[in-house]
Amino acid sequence: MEEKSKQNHYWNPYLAGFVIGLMMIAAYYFSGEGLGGSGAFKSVAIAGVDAVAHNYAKDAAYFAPSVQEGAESPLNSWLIFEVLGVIAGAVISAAYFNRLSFNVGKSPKITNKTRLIAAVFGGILWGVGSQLGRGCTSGLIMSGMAVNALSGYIGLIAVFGGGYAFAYFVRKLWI
Amino acid sequence: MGPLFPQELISETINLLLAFFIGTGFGLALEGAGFTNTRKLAGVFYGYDFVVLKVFFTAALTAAIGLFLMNSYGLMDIKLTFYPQTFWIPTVVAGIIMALGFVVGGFCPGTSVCAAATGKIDGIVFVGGVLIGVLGYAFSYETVFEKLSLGQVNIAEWIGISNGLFIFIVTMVAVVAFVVVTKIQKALNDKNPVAEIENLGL
Amino acid sequence: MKKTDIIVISILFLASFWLLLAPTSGNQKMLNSKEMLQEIQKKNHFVSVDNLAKRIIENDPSILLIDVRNAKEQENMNIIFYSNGTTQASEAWMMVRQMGFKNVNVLQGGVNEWFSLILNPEEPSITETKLEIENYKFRMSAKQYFTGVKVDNQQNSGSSTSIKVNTSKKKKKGASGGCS
Repeated sequence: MEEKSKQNHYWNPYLAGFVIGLMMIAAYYFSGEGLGGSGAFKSVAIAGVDAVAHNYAKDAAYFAPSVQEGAESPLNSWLIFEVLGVIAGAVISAAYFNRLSFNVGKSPKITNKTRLIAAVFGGILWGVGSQLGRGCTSGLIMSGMAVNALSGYIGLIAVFGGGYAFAYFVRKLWI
Repeated sequence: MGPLFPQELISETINLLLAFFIGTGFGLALEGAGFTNTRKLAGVFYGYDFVVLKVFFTAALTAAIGLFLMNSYGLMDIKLTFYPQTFWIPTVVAGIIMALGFVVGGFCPGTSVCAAATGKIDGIVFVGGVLIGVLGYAFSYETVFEKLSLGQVNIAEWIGISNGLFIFIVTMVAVVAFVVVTKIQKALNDKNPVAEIENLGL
Repeated sequence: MKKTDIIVISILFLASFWLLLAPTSGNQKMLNSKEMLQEIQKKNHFVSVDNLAKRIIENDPSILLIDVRNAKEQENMNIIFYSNGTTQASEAWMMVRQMGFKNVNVLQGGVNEWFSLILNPEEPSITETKLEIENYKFRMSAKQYFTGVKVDNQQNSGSSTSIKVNTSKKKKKGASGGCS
């Protein structure tokens, strides 16, 4: 393979972390909220099911609290706006660094198909896990750690510990 | 004194606008640090790229130090903010499920959205997977977890030390970790670099 | 390590050190066990019955008596905290809730909201939703009830019974974050 000058330029990780930390402080200071991602998926799922099957949603325990008459749409939430902002920021950054293109991110040692199948499974696991854990890495762990919540640290150990434990078995996907 | 919105010191419209701008900052930093690149994300588990650890801890500690400092000087009342509840067993089980999801899928929900937005097909597919998972959970929902809740537990109190001391200790641990993993990463990549390493910006 | 790395890490290190030395939550209203014990031993928190009788007779406006007998009965009662706005009531709510009491609520918007919505309701424009108009009618009747001021009867009060005035914590208050 010829030399493609594909050296990707990325921020200094500590700087990026610092900026994210500042964003988290702002989120807490202004809105009292922790930066998160999985909550938006929940809202979208609820709104979607409500739109398609409102009568089911009103009585089902998972959906009911959010779809009662006169209640605000679950999409009118802080998290949804935050995630929209995340998308905007990501697109701007990718455009700036010339990383805005359709492709499949993966190790060159596996096929696209393998990667995509793995991605679906990974996503499903996160869908279930984030609901069970009431958050994902940012909402549960990072925001939890930011306020010294025990659950944030439990999540941290479980996710990273689990990750290291499972990593060996799926190493072919990455290295 | 913060948090402003929960005390109705700013309007809902401003609150949502701020959410958007804060999210934008978050997105800029996430993409900028390379979190749309799953190989970089997975690297923390194999030693060739510790960016996740560095960004994660720096962010969490910056926020913690900032918030608790503001708390100490009366600029902020942490008790009025979102505070995840502690549910021991579900959190641990959830964490393990998420961990598997991470090493198989290479993303977490937040980064997958960034990736999907910037054209990564695996990101798009991952996002779909998350929705499927959420719906699957929703349709088989049980409220058994209410009984397992411990309420909102602060880890420093739980151990018996002050918030500041706990954060200080974690910061020290993190700084040591930063130095150590940087060395590990360098040694590993010098000896046995992964394929297309320039793609990872290393 | 590169220069930027060192700069950021140093900032973090120094800041955490500062946090360690900073006044420990100057805002802290909760006492630790040692302070609690000292207060208990000093016995300064007791008020004598003579003192209380005197203050009631003199119409002391600064006292608030709370009856804590029969906690069992009160378990079924809906305790609603209110303050001028929502903040102080919310703080009281948080403390009491942490103690395990279940039926405690906060008056959304406090006394201020009471004044502006119930005692001085704003007439909705024609384009408002049906819910808003129903709310307005209810509030007008409520205003009449509380102040004795007669108002026009746009419709008989039969409609007001279908509106439940929700004074408990609105779900949007108290950030929802993460996934809960």
